[in-house]
Amino acid sequence: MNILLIEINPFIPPSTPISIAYIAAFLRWHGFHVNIMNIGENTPFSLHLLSSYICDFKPGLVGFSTYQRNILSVIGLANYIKSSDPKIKIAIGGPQATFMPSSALQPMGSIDYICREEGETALLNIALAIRDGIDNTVISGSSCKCEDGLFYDGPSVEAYSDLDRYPSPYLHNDLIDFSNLEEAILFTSRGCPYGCVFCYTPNAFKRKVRFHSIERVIEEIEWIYRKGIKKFWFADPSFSINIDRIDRLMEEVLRKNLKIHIWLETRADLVNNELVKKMKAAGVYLVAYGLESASKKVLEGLKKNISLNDMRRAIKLTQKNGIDVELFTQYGLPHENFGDAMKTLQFLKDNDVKIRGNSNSQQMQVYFGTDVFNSCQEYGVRPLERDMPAYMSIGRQYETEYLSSDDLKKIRLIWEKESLDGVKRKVS
Amino acid sequence: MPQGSIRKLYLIMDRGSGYSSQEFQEYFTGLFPYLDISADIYLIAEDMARDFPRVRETIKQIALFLKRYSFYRINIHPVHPLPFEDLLKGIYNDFFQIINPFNREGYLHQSVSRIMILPILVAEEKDDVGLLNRCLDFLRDRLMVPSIYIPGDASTGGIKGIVRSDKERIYLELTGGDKLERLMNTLGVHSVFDELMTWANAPVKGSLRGCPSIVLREKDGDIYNCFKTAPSKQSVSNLYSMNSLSDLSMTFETHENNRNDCLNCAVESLSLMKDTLRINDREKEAFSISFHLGMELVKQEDYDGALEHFDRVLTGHTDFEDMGTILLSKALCHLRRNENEKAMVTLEEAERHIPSSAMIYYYKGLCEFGLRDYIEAIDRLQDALKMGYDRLPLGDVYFYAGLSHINIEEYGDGLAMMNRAEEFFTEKSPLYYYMGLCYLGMRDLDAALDYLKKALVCKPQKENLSSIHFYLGLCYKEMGRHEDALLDLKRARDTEEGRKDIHNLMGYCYFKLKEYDDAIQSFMRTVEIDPNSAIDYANIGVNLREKGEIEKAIPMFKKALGLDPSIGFARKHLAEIAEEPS
Repeated sequence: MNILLIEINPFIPPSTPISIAYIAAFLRWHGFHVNIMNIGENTPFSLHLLSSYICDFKPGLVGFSTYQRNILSVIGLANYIKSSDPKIKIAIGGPQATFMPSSALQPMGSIDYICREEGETALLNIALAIRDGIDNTVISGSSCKCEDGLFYDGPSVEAYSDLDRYPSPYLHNDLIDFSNLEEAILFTSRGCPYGCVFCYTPNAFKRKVRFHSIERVIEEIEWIYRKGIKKFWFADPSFSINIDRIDRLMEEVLRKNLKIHIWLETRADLVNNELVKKMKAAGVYLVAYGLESASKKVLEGLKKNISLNDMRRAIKLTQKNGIDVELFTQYGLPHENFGDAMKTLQFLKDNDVKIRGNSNSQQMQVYFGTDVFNSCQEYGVRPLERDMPAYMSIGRQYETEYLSSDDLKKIRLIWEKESLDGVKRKVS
Repeated sequence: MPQGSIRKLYLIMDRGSGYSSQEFQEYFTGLFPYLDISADIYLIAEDMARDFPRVRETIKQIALFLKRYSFYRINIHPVHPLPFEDLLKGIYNDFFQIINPFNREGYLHQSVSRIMILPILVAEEKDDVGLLNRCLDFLRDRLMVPSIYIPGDASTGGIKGIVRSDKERIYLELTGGDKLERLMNTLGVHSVFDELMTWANAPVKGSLRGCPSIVLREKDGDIYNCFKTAPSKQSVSNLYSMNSLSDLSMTFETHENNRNDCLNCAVESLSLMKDTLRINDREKEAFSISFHLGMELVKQEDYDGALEHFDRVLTGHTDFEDMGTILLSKALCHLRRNENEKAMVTLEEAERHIPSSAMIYYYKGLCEFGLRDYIEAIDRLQDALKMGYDRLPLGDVYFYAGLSHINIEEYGDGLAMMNRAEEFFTEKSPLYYYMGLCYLGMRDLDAALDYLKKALVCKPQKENLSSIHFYLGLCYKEMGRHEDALLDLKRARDTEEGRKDIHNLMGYCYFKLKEYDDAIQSFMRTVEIDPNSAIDYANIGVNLREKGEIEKAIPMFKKALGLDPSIGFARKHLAEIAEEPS
């Protein structure tokens, strides 16, 4: 059976479709013929091209990476694909899908499945069910609409605890086309043990962290390096959650004399001078830390369990070692007032962090699966729109007990005015 | 899978008496599946009061298409002279009603509307700034980002500052032709410039592609795949006469592959946009584009064009952030044009912006090499190697260091450098050739022969063949194997007949083999090539004397001495002849 996986982000340049590439590699390993369609800003794409592609490739299953920002495109593509051949099954996965209510299947029309668990296993179960002709039953790891017109949630499926059991999206594959990509995105781990209330990851990964072996990561880096890519973006939520492991990884990069440039994000309390020094030697040019807010009161309410002193120390030692620092910050956070928001801006200035790239602040986005979404009243968050389609979360359409829409707009404009690059964030 | 999609569509609404509006709409909507999912459609109308019903119908059709396919986003730019204020308000209130459901959809999905109306108002001499301002505010209030088009004969007084954001534009008319053609061409140049800007800002730059746009004339349904071809009526297809729309896709692909002057068009757009950028406060963008265009022209080996762009940035934008890179590339252009002194001056300047750059030292090495100061060249190339840089072309650095050593007859060092260069080269023939020369210089003739033969086997460039055979001949000659030498020298001669050194060496070998007639013939050819070659006249004399043709030999020796009195052996032969009994 042919499976088509689609990543569509018409507002940003195409980047490595790493998540669906993992899934594609896994499904191929299980004998399916899988192709990836990666559509970004300026990727030539039309209804005619889509129609020709579907006609030529004849997929039995189409999967989409789904985010709040691309949901309209996903629904539109799904509707067209379904209308061109009603037998094609359509599944969505990704951060917007995991905790989306099952009732959203109704307004989304052509979507047959919502993946609830790790993409590889959830989509494999769907693919196997379609192949074996039992796709009208409840499938583990996903929700679906059955013949009786009702929505059903399948039982959980256990994800692999050893990430190396998932085949590499890079090695022995032609899944990723590097011709238009500047850098490679890699994961060395998945999940995060912390419980930040604004983040979807703790609930999605049940606060567990799983790892790839250092050997596998190095093998991937070397393979990509040989393809001529020298910039690497490590997308782990907390890259140095295990300091010894990262020390070994940096050591290996140095030992193999790989001249690469690394961007990574981690927590301010997960670095020390020795590690940062080694990171610098191995080619790390930028470390992004999640500050969120420089108001002690607000920060404590986010349950991030990090102090402003940790943050100052980490920034200082990173800068001292010649590595640039980015700080992820947000405004419109629970229990934050206008003065608190301004403290965050001042913190960046006081610590010589340039307001550009990912250091441009953004309003908190209230996504499905976050504690703030689940208990928005408790966090003082008031959604502005009651008629939102069921597949949309609150996002940024809210006010808080202390910040009105006008306040939030004012804060945004202040940050925009301070931005050195016209607000060019890379991570949202 | 067919490639490509229509990113920009210019519809010239010049309907004459031909097809009805309904027929046109039916055919026109057939184009929609070929539009890119993020497309811009320009509706160019000469008289909005007259053309409004057709413009409205077109916008309605686009809205219907978007309603059906929610992965599409289209910007519609009605382009028309400013009508009466009330009429404009009525028209755009009407358009607003069509697009308003999309504004609501955008709000609910926390995204911008999938259909945007971005009017381009042609301001004529009679339109005062107050009226313009009122109209623009009216449009802004309805979330329609307006732009102003200033015809060539209209004044720009009071216009600067009328737009309020970088999304609002002032279009200054750029080209000639009739009214609609001028509009079309000006928008086309802007479009090319926008594509150029997107390309310049992209983190990974492929080759500069042609603008993915088409022009459609409502009057006759003619379709053009380039705004420049529209005035000359070179249409690629016709909306009404195509058998099927899939023909259209094939037609575009064929014409897409035939585009060959897009880079020139891009370069031209940059200079045409000069005043427009100034009035829009976007001059810095032009410098950024000039920088990237210059780099692209370097890749295409158009060093004159590249230098022009680099100089534009260097003179116009003295605090350009990539000053070091631009100076480095400028130096490369000078180097490729053999302007070594200019290259060196540029590199000194570049060094002030990027100190300790291995690339600068590499280029300095090449300059010194070009200036034939081989000792300096070796030092600079060694400096580059010491600094280290992952993009330094190591193979070339070792190669030029090796060549520099060879040029000052340090054959051992030259050989060592060529050995290091070997791992970086896939085309090894030049390396083996120079390694052969090193062994020859070191008098290891067997090794020299081996490497020169390897150079021959590794598919050398045609222009290098004669040199390889020549040095093979020289090796054999040094080994005393004159017949073998002649075999290679003849091959060298057959490849490059006009080389004096080949004929000279052949003459020498024939002489050694006592084949004096052939020797004389070879030396005669050398003096034909170089009539001032004193030594070869003397060589002819020697061979004639060996043949016993003393009378013919004497003038040859005299000629040689006349050209170069220091040729001792000619004088010696003359003296011996004089002493011989007559």
